[in-house]
Amino acid sequence: MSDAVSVALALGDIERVVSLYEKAAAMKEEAGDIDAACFLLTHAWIHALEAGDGRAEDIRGQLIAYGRE
Amino acid sequence: MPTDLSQVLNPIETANGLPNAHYTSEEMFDAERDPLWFQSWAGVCVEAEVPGRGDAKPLDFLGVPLFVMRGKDGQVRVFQNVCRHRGMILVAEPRKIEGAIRCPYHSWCYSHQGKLVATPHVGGPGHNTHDGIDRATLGLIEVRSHIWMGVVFINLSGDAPDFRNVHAKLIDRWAEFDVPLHANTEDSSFTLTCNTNWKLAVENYCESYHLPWVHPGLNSYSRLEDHYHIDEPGAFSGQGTEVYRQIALEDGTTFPDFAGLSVKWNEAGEYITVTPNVMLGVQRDHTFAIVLEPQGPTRTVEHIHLFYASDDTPAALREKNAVLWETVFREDIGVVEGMQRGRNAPGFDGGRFSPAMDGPTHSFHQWVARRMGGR
Repeated sequence: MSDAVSVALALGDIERVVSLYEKAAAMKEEAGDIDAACFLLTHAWIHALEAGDGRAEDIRGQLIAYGRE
Repeated sequence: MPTDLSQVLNPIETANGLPNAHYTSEEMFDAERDPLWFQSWAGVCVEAEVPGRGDAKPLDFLGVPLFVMRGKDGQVRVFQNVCRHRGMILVAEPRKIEGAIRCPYHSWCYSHQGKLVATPHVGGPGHNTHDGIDRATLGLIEVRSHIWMGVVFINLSGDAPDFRNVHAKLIDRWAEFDVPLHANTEDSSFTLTCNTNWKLAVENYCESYHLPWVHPGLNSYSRLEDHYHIDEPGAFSGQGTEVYRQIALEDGTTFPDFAGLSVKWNEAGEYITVTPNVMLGVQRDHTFAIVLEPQGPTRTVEHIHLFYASDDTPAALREKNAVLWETVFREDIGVVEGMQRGRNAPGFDGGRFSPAMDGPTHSFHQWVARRMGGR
């Protein structure tokens, strides 16, 4: 995933960066690794926040639900 | 490095100008920062440099890193360009910030109003809060600002009297120009770099005495005797003309006038310095602002912006006008740089003023001297 994120960042494709982090976070969450999921969700949130991406608030909501924000 | 400023504060008939050190010394340049710049209302840019919502531009204000930004709410604000976490510069180049202002170091994020809105991993990986980090107290440091005549003025110290009070007389004098000003930064802005102290640019701008000698083209229709002094000691200095002539294309096309001007402005033009560093001009069909950026005691960048009454003006006429003003302002470079070199002469005593012609210049010297502690 990190390679894909790097490529998307280099291209300035923040929408894809957010999607990649969200997808990776969902996989960790499914595997029960909440710490890793929240780490990845944090990155999805920050990139969405900077880009003014509408998903930022939903992602923040997930972090709040886990007591991480 | 105190200098004897008592001679500067004499009546013009017996006054001398500021001593050489005020133009040549690094130490004096540093000593001016608080009294002349940080404690007053200084110009840093024009509003048109951040035309769109989210547009941000870094500024270097005598070494202090700032940035100006037009927020999502349309309001222009100036902030210290520093993250409250590790002091990292936030905005390194002009850009549009669609969402949050993200620090490139650890990604703390701020809203367009300067509020700290995200502190990723601040409580450990994946934990974005910590009891020791109170976001409400860690917003960006906003700098007091005021926009007038298209120029963004700031008071860094935060304790100067309100801009509207400090410049009440000038605001009143030019109330007819308190209308929307239309800038075109693509073709109606330019910069000139001068190897001179910023004060010499101000002093030259304040007086009409030099016009017939330095600007013979202007003098062909705007003679020295057509000018008058504008001198409000402690507030502003400048000059005016009674024979302003509109620029026109060959077919006679002129710029539209600002709406509602009184008859006085049919042929009047006024040119005033708002201390310390903003040189403004108003005429019936356009205004301009020159924001001086000192880059040291002997180097000054002039940021020049022309403003019109409408967005819909002929490009060819704008270009012609920009060329005209650039020609005029370039003609001044030789004298402001020459006066700068002259201030390396140890025998120069600040110079004697013409009591008849140098009143506005002397007033500016007195403004400097008083703020620098002269008695």
